[in-house]
Amino acid sequence: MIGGVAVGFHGYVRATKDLDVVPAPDPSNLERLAAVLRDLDAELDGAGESEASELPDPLDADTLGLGGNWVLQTRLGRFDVMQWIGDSELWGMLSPAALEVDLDGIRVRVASYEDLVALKRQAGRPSDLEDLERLRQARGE
Amino acid sequence: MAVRRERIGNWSPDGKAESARLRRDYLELAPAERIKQVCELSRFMSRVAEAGRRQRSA
Repeated sequence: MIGGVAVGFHGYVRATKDLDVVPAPDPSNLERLAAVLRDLDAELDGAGESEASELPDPLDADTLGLGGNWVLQTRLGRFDVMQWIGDSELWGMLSPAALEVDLDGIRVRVASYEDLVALKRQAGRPSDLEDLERLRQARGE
Repeated sequence: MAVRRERIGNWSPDGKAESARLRRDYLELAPAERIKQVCELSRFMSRVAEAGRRQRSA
């Protein structure tokens, strides 16, 4: 996980509009992710009907395996599948230092603080910069 | 020289899809429905944040 939920993990808890996930790119994991997305009634978000019809189906593991970033709307809220930023493949960038936590028996991996800060700096939107400032304040840095 | 891979998907760095989502929420979603989704995410965030606190204090 990256994004606002990861910000909460690292010490600054705020409301968030979505869950940002960087999936392990192996085919079996992408099959599981596609199944979950279908179960959540996920649909392409932010694309007009004509634009959406020109894109491959992101609820298909083969499509996810092409490595794109997808903004999806589900019945539980927005769910973003993020696989790249700039010239970097996110899984390879984040996986080595990701922290593993147990949520009621489910293993969840969260981007490390250092990687999250780097991502936020790279994104550079006002909300990202505010997250960085709040994290610094919360952590007494 | 590395060839930059063509990127697919509806996400873009300029936040076009997010902006369209905001507009659709404004036009189509009752505030209570959006709040329900935010609450769902907040419940999950609460569990993740507590896991982070435990990990920092371990």
